[in-house]
Amino acid sequence: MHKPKDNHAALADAFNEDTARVDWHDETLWWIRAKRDKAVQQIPEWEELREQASHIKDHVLGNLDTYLEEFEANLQANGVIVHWAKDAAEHNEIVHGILSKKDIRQLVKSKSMLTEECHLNAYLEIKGIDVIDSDLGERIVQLAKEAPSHIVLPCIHKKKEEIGELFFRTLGTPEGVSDPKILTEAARNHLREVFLSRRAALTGVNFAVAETGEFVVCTNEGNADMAAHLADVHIASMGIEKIIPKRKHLGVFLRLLTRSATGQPITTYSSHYKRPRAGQEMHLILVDNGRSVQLGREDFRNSLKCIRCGACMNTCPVYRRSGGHSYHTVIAGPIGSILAPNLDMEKHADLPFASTLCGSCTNVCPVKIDIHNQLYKWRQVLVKAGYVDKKKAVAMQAMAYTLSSTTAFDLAGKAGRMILKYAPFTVNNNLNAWYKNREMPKVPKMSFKEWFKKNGSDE
Amino acid sequence: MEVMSSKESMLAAIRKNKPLAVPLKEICEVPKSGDLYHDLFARQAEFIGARVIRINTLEAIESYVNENFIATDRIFSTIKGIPYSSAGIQASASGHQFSDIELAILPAHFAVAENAAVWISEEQMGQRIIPFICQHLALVVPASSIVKDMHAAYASMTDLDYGFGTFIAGPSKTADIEQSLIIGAHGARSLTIFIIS
Repeated sequence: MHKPKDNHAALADAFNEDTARVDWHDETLWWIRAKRDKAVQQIPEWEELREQASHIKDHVLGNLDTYLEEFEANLQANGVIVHWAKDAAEHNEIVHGILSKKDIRQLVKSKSMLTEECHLNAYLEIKGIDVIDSDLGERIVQLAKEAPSHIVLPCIHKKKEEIGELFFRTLGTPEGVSDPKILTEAARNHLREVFLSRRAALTGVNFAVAETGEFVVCTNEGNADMAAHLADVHIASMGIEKIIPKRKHLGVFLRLLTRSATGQPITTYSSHYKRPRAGQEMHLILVDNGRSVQLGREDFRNSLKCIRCGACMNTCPVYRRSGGHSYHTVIAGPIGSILAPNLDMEKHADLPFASTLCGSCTNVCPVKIDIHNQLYKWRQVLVKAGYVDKKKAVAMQAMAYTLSSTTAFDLAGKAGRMILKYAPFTVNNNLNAWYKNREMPKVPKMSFKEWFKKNGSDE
Repeated sequence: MEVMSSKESMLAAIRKNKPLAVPLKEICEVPKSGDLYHDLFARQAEFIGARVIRINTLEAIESYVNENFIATDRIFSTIKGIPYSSAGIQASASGHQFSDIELAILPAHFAVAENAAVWISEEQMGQRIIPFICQHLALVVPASSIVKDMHAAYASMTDLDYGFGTFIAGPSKTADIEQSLIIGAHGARSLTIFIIS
């Protein structure tokens, strides 16, 4: 078992100490969810689009090997150098190999959750390579020496005053300035210098087209393009599940991605990279890192359809009130909680329990991943495999017994009502997890069964 | 024993674990062309912070630029017939030399009404970096080229080949600091779209 201090419940407790911040975090994410709804409601064929996207991904998963081979052949025909990495370590070595061959010691990156998953920055720093993240939110968490707390909004947990203080210390903005416009301008100027002085750029990949060998990178800021078009060497890293069969399928996914993520109709830039520009070297790294294993888990393979929009996080009542860092994994929230146990069941055994199973995630998912069902199924796998806290396992057994026996259920109900009526202090205290942030309910005089016996049997 | 390469071992694992293949069905319909989507396009462009200017001649671009942008010699264009130079761009020129462009005026292939995205490919840019590094960007789109949605967009791209191409929808932006929308992140601070009839 990992240290209890690192589990979701304990980390969420720490986040919940500042109630005002929790409310702010909750409301900000709900506002984004509301923007998503507004954008979606303008598309009458939205459900059809989700169905099509989900179906294309189903089709890809069943033909993943042949599409990867087709993609590789087309990339090579386009003049792109292709690498295959079975795990994070191999991915990182490939990146380092490309850089050291050219004697490059500085790298500028655009957002790539995959490189977060591979812990590339830490690896390269040990090798003496300076890495700068260029997405504003990612740059902020990098300067703060933190991890992103959301895949689309990396510093959603931070207040502008904290960012102002951070920029004052690191970028030399005036002390006490927290106006987002001034801070963004400071970052623009700082990063322009970076873009103009780096010989190598690494970007993520949103979609890769087998048919043409092109890959698409989406940003609002323009940082991926600023980095890639100024660099002599462009490295693109992608998980093998990012592949789609044909270019026309981009029409389906680009319609879904940003509407689901932020409520925008599309990102500012949807850049299609096909051939390196004259004099440039372009590399593409295909990364497995557990994906082929997840492909073999029938109950969980649907999670490979994910297009990383973050809609499931914005809508999740647990994520919104516990913060991204409480998930102690690169991808937080509902989707992260089904992806993480695939990589390490023991370390992430707590995550599928960080959910109310309300199903809101499943309802907003643009590729129709049955997220809440998978969370429920992971719980069973993890309990069976013995990765779950004994106390929780015993409590669940007791619950199972109570719910399956009429006598036990009646007795438990009576006991509950008695306690709440005559000895409320035994539950209205902080030893009871259900009392935190809540009042215990008023007790009815009798159970429904007793009431029905008395009043309901005549007709 | 021969050691499998990473490629071979990844493909072998995928073959072993992949589900039964389902045939690909196309559900989404491509809207018919020929309809006019100018109003939807203009509404969406405004929503995402772009300016739409309808013009009939290329000369109108010059007068609009004179009225709305500061007078500077750092205006760049790849469009023949307007008085801004393309600075004799060479394919091999370093993108860095364009870092002080104030305004770039570039032609584009077509635009999409549902999201106000404009498709521009490499040969229209002069250099790949130009639409991103310029302080302000203007794109010139033929009025007859506006399609309804992204399905129609890709249908109209069947015959286009490009080494690099991009949909640009509005000026660059970020909301990473407390979700405050700030226009002008790393790319252009404004986008003007000239619709030319």
